[in-house]
Amino acid sequence: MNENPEKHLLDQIDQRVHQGQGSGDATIDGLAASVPRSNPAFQQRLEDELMCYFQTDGEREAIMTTMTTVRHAEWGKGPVLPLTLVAAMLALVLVASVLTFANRPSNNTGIVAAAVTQTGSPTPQSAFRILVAYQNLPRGFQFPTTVDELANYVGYVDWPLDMAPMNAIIESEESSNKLLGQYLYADVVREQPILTNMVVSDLTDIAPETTDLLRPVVIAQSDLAAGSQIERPAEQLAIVYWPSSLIPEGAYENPADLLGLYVKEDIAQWQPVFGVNVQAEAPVLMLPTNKVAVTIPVNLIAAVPYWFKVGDVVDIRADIIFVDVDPQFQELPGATVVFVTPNSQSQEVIVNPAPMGSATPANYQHIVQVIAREAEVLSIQPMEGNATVTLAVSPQEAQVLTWAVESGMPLSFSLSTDGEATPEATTNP
Amino acid sequence: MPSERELIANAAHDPEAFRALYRAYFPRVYGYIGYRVNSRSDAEDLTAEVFLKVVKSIRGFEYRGEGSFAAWIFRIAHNVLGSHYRKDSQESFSLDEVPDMASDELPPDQNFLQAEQLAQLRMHVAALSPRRQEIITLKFFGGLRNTEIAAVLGLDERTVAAYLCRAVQDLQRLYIAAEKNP
Repeated sequence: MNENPEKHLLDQIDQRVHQGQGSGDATIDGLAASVPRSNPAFQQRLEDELMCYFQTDGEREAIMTTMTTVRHAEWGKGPVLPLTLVAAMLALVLVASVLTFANRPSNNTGIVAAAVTQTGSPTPQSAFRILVAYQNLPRGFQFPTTVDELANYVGYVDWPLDMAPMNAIIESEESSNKLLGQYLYADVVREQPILTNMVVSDLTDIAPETTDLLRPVVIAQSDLAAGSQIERPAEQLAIVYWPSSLIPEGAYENPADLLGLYVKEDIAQWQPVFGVNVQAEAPVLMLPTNKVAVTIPVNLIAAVPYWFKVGDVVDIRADIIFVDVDPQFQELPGATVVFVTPNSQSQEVIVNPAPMGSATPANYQHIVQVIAREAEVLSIQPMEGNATVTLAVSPQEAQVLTWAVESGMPLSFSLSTDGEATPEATTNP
Repeated sequence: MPSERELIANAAHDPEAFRALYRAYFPRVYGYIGYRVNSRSDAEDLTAEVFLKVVKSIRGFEYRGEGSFAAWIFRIAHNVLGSHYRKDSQESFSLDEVPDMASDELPPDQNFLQAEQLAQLRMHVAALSPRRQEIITLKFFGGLRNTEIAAVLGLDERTVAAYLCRAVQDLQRLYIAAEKNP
């Protein structure tokens, strides 16, 4: 049978997974049969909760209650740092809000919003849209008295439900015309949501001049891995509002400014995105944690770079000639080194790094030693029959590799077992 | 019956379209996550987290051909699992807490035996490297094709196939050895 056994195996897997037919292999069928099943009640409950996102504006309060419960459960499982950050952000916004609105009168009942849609088209029932400023508006600004004029200053935009600030003005039939002729209590920046308690009917009620302005800060909506590109800012990023005096330098205000940029280092969910976190050029090499990059020359004909490629994980073996001598009275010119590998204890040995096939003393041992394990191939640069291969290895392995290359030691590669087994590190035939 | 592409196009505004997608993908996402975590509660929490992210961001999803939606959902699930692992890096594996597995395809008198075999298989899978575990679970429990797995993990499709083959071959050896020496 000439069929490639790996192709046959893949066909068996596809037959079982995608066609639902028995593969004839106990392992494959066993794997397919061991799929975890959920509690049907949980599936239904989650479905109900997700459907809350599609409710109408009139049911928003109930939705928010439901989703807040879910979100608390979600955040309760989150990483410590992002959770702390979220708490800090919320606290900052809360403090700023208290400072901003501490002295304002509570006679805003009935001030909701004017129904000024951005496009003029009817608002989809399922859409969640809140009122934002189209331009920077100073405290004390009086909104126009007509809907047409008002549309030059404010409008409704889609907004993630769980990112909506408290008191956000939701688009609805009842919100018509309530903003007309009113005054802004505090400064508002472009694209900042306008909250119900930011609007007053009397100019004397506006905030003191010392009010700290809230400004948008772009944060990561999910973890962004180093090396990844920001291709969909609306999905990958979100906006929160911080007091301007507390916004670190280099923070972004507009997610669109990050479109196409590459993440230089991991950005955790909810973490603000700073200029130092991103770059315009695609990173050439992405080093795993605690690894260093080392470049070694490789013979394209004799070695394996013909079939391994960037992203593969390889082991590197060295052919070493060990010569047993008594250093008290014997000498082997130019051959005394200390050889330390990450996989063995330190051992002082006498090494003759002569190439294979050259004359060697009678009392030699030919050793094949794994000197770097599970090295990720970062790049391969062909060079006239040879190549240089850049690998991500531990700092210790990098030293050993460098020494091996400079000693002219023959190196060979094998596709790594990726850490599952523990192959013999040394072979002495 | 609308196609998946039509459902995706409408899911941002049409609850029924989203519900259909949810019902199609829930068992696969739960299966994928349930195999990678140690307790039912974790599996449920993480699955809920995935679908919350999906419903929040589906408006920004761009359809890029067959399989792109599955790859997108499982990319989210992959990231959620990654965050979970970073948080619980010291978590230990306990067979007592694993989510239920689909073992009702066999007669009741074989259920116990099969449950033991499946638990053993799960332990073998857990002994694989993280990358191979990921590919095995995306394949068998997420039901993804190799091109979709490649998109989720940012790998070449051939690399996925190679890892998948080696992982299954290793499991076959372990499975056979365990049957001979129970």
